[in-house]
Amino acid sequence: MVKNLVEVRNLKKYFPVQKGFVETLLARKIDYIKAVDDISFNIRKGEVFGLAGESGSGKTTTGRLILRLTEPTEGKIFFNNTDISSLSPTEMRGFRKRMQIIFQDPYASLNPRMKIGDSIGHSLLIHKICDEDEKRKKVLNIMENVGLTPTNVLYGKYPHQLSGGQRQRAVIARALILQPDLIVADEPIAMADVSVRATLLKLMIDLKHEFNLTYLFITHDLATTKYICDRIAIMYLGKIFETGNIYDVYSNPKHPYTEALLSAVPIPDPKARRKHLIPGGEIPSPINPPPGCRFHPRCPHTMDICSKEEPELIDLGNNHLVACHLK
Amino acid sequence: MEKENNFFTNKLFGWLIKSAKWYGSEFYITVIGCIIILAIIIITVFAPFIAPNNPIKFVGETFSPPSSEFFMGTDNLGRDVFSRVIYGARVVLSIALLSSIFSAIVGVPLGLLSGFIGGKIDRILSLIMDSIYSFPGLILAIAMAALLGPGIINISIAIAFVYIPTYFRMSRGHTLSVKEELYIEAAKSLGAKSSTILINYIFPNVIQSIVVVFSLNIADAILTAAGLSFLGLGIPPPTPDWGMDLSQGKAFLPSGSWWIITFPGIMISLTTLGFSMIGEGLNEILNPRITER
Amino acid sequence: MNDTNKIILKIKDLEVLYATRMGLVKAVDKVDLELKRGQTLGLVGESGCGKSTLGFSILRLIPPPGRIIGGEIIFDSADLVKKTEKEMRNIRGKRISMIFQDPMTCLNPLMRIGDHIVETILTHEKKLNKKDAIKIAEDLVVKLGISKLRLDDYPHQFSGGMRQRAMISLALALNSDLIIADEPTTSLDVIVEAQILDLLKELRSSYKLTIILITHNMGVVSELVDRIAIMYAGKIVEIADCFPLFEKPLHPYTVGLLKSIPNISLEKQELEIMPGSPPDLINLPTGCRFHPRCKNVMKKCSLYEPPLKEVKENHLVRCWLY
Repeated sequence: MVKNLVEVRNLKKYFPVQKGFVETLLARKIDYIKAVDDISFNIRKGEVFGLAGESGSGKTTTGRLILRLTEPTEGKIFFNNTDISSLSPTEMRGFRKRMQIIFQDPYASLNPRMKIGDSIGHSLLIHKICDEDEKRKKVLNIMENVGLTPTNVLYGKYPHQLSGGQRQRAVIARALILQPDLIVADEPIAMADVSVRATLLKLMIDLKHEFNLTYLFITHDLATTKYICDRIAIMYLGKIFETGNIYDVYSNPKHPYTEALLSAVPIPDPKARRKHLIPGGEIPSPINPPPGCRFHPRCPHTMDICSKEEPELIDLGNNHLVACHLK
Repeated sequence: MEKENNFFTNKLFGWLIKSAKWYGSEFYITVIGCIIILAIIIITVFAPFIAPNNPIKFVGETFSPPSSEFFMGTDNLGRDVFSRVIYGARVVLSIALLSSIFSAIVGVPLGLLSGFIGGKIDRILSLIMDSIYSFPGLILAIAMAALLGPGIINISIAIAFVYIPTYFRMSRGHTLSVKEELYIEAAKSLGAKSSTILINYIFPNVIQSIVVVFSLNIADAILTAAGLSFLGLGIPPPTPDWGMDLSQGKAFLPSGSWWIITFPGIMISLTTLGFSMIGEGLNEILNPRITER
Repeated sequence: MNDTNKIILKIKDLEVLYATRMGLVKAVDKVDLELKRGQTLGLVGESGCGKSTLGFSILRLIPPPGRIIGGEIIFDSADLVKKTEKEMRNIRGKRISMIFQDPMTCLNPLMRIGDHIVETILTHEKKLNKKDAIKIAEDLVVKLGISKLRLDDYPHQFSGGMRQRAMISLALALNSDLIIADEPTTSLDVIVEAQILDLLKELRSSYKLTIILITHNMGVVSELVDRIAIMYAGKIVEIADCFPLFEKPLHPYTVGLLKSIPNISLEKQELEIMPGSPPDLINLPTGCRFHPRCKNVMKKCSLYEPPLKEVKENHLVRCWLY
């Protein structure tokens, strides 16, 4: 039996909608953006779990919820069997060592007034793990690991003096220095130059083996998830539509939305030019999602039941779950 | 020794030329501002060696126009205007510097805390600061000066009081925007405490705009200080003070003694200009409007 | 007049220079390019390789401090570089139009979508009255999949995909001879991106459009274009027709780029790593600009700049290997 590192149970996150003064007076109830609406999934120890979807699907919010960077409205998150959703901020601080995040924009996630080496090693001082001298040693070590060389020179540089790829390496190094168990990677390569992306992906895979990491890989790019992930969950308007291991989901997509997403991915090969199986319209507003199945207004196979009843996730075997009335 | 000297001057000039190329016109503005202020500071420090006469002694005839003996003439009591101008710089500069430091020491931390904590504390502090800000600066300074009485420290406090809201608003505004940056969230995810975030992540990013406000603020404080002493609320005579000399000299302008007020006036303008130039130039260099990447 | 296969745009030795605080940046360095009527050209490269600058320079819209310092842009047998600003204004929008990455920045937020189109038509077609223009606009947007009723909406009421459709309708309103699309789908989600690409494909055949598609995404170009120019550090390193280029890329940069992109249609894939990152345009490497990252680097590469050489028919490469 494989152990679960993270278990998410019925997680919800509603953001109240900011309104103008007059509207607040007139409206009886507050509207909510249902960014994440009742999702459950597990991340197994040592795997790369992909969370894919379009913008507005709630995938980034899910990642931030798991790290408790925002508070959940409802639901529980278990990290190594501890319910972290009910911990106090002080208790949580201890857990932060074990889970780290890599943001999409490395430039914005580094303090512009801090030298790279200090940025990477600051968490060692925060958690009082070691002193200044040992910090330097450890930072230089980890910089070597992520390929930020020459380490001695780059240690004293500021973020704006590095290239995009180097900055992302620095962010990865910062996430790794506390030797966490889980890394949430939120579109980690989206801002990198095309020719640098493969290098970063490979680096992440190598580091995973070296440091025994588990990744939650959040992205909109289904070609990348296919390359790096072991399992994947497809999100749409705050719901998980389909989840399973990469092979099952990609070779045998059961949800019409998954099918559409897969067919829309551009393939870098003109011989593969094809007619896309894409639905019309765009992702609707998460404030008032369609009733029943949230995808039904755009679905090519929509039936009567779809607009009335919300489908549950059904296990099709081999942990391949899908939420669709067709199955 | 000679060689080493050469080496340093070469290095200094090399740096100047490189920076000028890098930053363009803003750099020249800053350098000119620095030269003006540096000159005035040198004058202040070495006043006893530069000034030919004692500024509060009667050394010549009254109302003598500029001549080879009295470079800027003498005033109604027969004191040397040139010496008074030189000694006057001491008073003005110390008041301006002290008041700016006082208001920064109070305003910046309050702004940081207010912006960072937010909520009720922020609202109350902002309300207080806005009500201070809504008073015309000079009138508020007059009231404070009248309350506190004369003396360099008291005048500085009176002026500082006027400028606290400037620092407060500036640092609060920057804190609010820096607080939303991704690197703050990154620091939180590392497990940093609020105090660590405030000191290591927010403060260093806010302080650079404070430097700009600081030098512009000194320029403003000089004008307010001069205004106060012009109105008789400054340093008591006979201590040389540009504002006071201006106010006393204006009575003799109709009779043709232009030199008594012209030279202190020029010095006030020049000092203000110097600090303004440093401030504006630094603003362009530190916060370029077009960021090139 | 049947003028397919006629060369509509010919760029010769074009050089664009940005004078920045850090130094002089030659964003476009002696670029030669040809485009036939009805052809779709993909201009591919990473950020900072000069592809967007090249696109803007055709419209003479390079943001300061950039300017064209040499070369010719022959459009319909006239050199655009020599034209006055007034003459250019008549060309922009009417003869050559542009589609941008972020349509929100190009639409006036206080103007209705319909008014944008009508205004564009009226500025360039003085003979038409407002009624005709509205009619043309309505017909046009329906073809692009926007409901007539939505012409009265403001840009912020449109979704990203709809805005991009509106931008395309602006470009089509005057039947431009050339459309420059600068990363038209980059800010869109995958499904909407596919919708817009399908739309462009359809329009290309029905309107016989000539398009320059500027993008960093190899997947997007392979869907749409006839001919591809790969840019690296301000220079074109390879030009070829789409199929031969993907079949057998010649320049090591193109080869590496194609092997480093995850491809969803492949069962198992080993990504190839290209070391280093694109150079800083101020401190360019000597010789071939790609040599510090190249697998097949030779002694010659760091010394001399290779010429753009026709290796096969219609397939040009800038590399000492050939």
